[in-house]
Amino acid sequence: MNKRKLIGPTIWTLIIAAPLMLYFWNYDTTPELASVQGETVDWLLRLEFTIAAFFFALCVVFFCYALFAFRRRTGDKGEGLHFHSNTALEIAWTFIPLVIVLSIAFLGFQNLSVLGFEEGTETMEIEVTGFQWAWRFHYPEQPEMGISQAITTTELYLPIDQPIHFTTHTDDVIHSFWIPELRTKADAIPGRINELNLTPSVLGSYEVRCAELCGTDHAGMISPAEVVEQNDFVAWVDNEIAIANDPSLKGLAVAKQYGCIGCHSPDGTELAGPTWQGLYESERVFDDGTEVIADDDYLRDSILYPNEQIVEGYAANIMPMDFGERMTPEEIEEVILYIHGLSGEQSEAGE
Amino acid sequence: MSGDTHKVVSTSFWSLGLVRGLIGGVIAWFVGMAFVMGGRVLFGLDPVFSAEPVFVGGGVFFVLGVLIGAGAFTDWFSWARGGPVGDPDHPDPDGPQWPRYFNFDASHKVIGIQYTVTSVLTMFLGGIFALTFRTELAQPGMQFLSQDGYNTLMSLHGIVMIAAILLGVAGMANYLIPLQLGAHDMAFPRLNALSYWLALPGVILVALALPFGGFDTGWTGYPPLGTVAPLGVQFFYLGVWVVGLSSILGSANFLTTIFRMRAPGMTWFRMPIFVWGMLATSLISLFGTQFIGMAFLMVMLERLLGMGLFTPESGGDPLLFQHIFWFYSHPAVYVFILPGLGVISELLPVFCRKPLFGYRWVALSSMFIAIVGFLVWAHHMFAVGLSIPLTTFFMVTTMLVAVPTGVKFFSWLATMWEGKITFQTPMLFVLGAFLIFLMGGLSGPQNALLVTDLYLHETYWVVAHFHHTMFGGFVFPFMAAIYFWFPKATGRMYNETLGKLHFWLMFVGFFVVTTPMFRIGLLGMRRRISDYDAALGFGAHQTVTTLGAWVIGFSLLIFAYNIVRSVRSGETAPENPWSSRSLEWQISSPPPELNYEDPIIVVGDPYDYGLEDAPYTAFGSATGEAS
Repeated sequence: MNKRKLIGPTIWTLIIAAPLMLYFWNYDTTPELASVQGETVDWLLRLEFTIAAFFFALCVVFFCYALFAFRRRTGDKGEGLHFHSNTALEIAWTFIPLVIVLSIAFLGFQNLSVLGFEEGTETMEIEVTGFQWAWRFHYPEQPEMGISQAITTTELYLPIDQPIHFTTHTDDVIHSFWIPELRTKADAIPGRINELNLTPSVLGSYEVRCAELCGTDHAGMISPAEVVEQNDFVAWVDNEIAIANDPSLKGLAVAKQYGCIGCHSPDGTELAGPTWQGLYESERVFDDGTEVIADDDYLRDSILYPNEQIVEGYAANIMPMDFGERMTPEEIEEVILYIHGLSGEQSEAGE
Repeated sequence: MSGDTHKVVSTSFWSLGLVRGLIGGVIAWFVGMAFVMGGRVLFGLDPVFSAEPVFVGGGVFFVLGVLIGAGAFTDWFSWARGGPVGDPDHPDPDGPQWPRYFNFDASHKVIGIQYTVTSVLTMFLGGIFALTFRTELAQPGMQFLSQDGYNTLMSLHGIVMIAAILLGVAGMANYLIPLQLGAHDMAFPRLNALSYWLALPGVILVALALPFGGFDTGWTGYPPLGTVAPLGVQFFYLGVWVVGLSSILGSANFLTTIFRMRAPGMTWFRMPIFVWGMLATSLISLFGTQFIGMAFLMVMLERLLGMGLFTPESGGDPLLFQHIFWFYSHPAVYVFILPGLGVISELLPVFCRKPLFGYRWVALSSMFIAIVGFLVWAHHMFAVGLSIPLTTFFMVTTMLVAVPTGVKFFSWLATMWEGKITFQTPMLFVLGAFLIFLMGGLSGPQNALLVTDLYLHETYWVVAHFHHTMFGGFVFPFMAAIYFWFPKATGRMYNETLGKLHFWLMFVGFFVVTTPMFRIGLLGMRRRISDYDAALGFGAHQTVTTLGAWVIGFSLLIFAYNIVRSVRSGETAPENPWSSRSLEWQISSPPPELNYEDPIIVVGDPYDYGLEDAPYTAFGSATGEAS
């Protein structure tokens, strides 16, 4: 075998690999980064891409060179050069990659620590619960964090630079809690409590997106996530507490807790289910053509037996049918009372 | 065997095994439904017609009905009664041959073609599903599918393609293993036919999930989503269970054949490299398939009998399913790719006219992948919150898979080195597979580290990575194999121009599909979503991906046309069009009923291209020569 034939492709490999590796080392392939932990994710990704770029250049250059240099010329009837093994070479291309992959695995092991906080870190606790197909976020009482009373919300507010310890839960099937800009994710699994540690580092509006297939509207299982200044966060918490303590808005807190307003907007926005604005005492037309005035009994039945009467233009079998088991009768009455408050006249009166 | 025990081959439509099997299946379906309803009456269960158990009972009986109708048990029933039993290896040589392909026939060559044709048809079905939802995804917003419609098609695409790949692997293995070993057939010909006739109703059951309400679980079928999904999910579970049983029986047959039926002189390291790939694959199938069968059966029982196996309130655990499921389903991807990588290693020497470089390393790398493949399953579950020691173990084992895969790539490059390379259609598909699988390999380690996987998990990055491994590891080698052994199986040549056109369209089309997927996967595009926010700016990428998918679909129409046309009227193939050294090319095409009428023996190494006086095979008696 003519060893000089190796010189050309080796040089070409270096010529092509160098800019490719530099490119992957310097270029961010991921979206805007907004967490401290994400820096390690991006750094490791860049390292892996850079190493992959080298092997890509190596294989493709030798591959293309071989196709060109060792193609059969017209009229050539001969066979290829006969050689079938080289133990030194084979040991080399087994053990060099072995060392490389074990080194990467070691780096991966070493950086696992980024997924936890140093001992003694003061973390904010947030309980994330996924259900088909929305999220709710429960902030337990944490006076030292400015949360003087536990609140449950459908939007995630995070104070910047605050280490946060999320626990993930689910009411039904498996979901996965993920904010791409914060990088890491954690599944929410029935019967288990999973955790995720993140420190948001950039102000902005992001989205929680469910990353585990969870049925019909998996695609739409998205909630807003805001990273805000510390004092804005406290102001938001106080506002949420005020809402929770307002008796006329008590039902809103319940509705948020059970995810009602994931599909039924209180302000007229068109979602998967009919809006609650102006619903009370309005005339309802169903898909079978019948009509009824929306009184308390109608609202109660709609919560308990959602498939009995479907408002024209909406789909059946979307709303869970087990609210009668999950909600207490008092909670159902509170939601109905809250819907009273959203009827047209009162809203206008309020303005 | 005397002539009067020949099976009489009838050409009447109603006598075809396929027709009788389907009729038998439909009748048995209703018998099964009646059986379950009878049981419900007997035990006082109310209501008597409860859709799910009754339909599942119908599905189970359907499989038996197809087998009985097709004649799978005819010989066994006859034998049990003390009646005559035809020799499966000696069908009537004078009658018409085409009905054999629609019958319960024990010849490995017939079964190989049955499997391959069924695989291609199944792949077309899976492709139609893919094109449908891919077109829906081309633009943000729901255009013509409902969300449940998307979920069902996406889930079915996955499992139908997996079934098609298993059928394709079995097709190549059935046709080639006995021929390449110098054997007259498989070790257990009737069991072999039974495997095929189990796989067929299995695939039908999976496809029946669509009319029975579909399912929205993806091909992974995770509970609790799988326990609350529509009725269709039961047919998906049941169908996979049946295909899995077929796969286990097939692998037992392949292993026995490889162990016991090699030609005289064929030592382990003189076996064709494709057989090594099938050896590794069969070991995985034999020891692994039970696990997916068990996992799916457990969900079926949870749904049918209320067992709380995966329900925490009843003491179950959803993660239990994932562990059992992935214990097979990760090694399963090696079941899909090891035969394909074997085809690459098998064909490269022929078209480079050079020995396979590092034959033993390549052979043993397949075995290493098969073994390590059983130790990596939990890398699919990094987001569930595994403990640090477990995570570390699975990160290291997963990274280790890169080493034997790298050995294969470097050996292929060294095989090409100083060769005399020609570029006929099979070789083009091999070279395409090299590049596609290379990208699949290089996009893998990013998913192996917990920290980076917690970002990439469940994104389009994983989808693109997986499709690269499947196209590079199975689809392209499978196409190469079909073109390469087409003259062997039919005695005719395919059309080279159409073959090359098929390759270039499919090759370019594939990169058009995956390149945007890699990009938007890194930007945070979730997988398995029916719709995406237009504000993310992924619309253009999705449109390009969809166009690429249509190009692939179009190229496969050319492929189908080429195959059908060439089977009918292709030129007569030369005896050994590729000047291959392998055993199967030393006999006529198509091979005689019992393959090697003169005993063939192995006297040298399989890939000594370019070496004078180094024959691989010789005809004659085994005595004395095999040393």
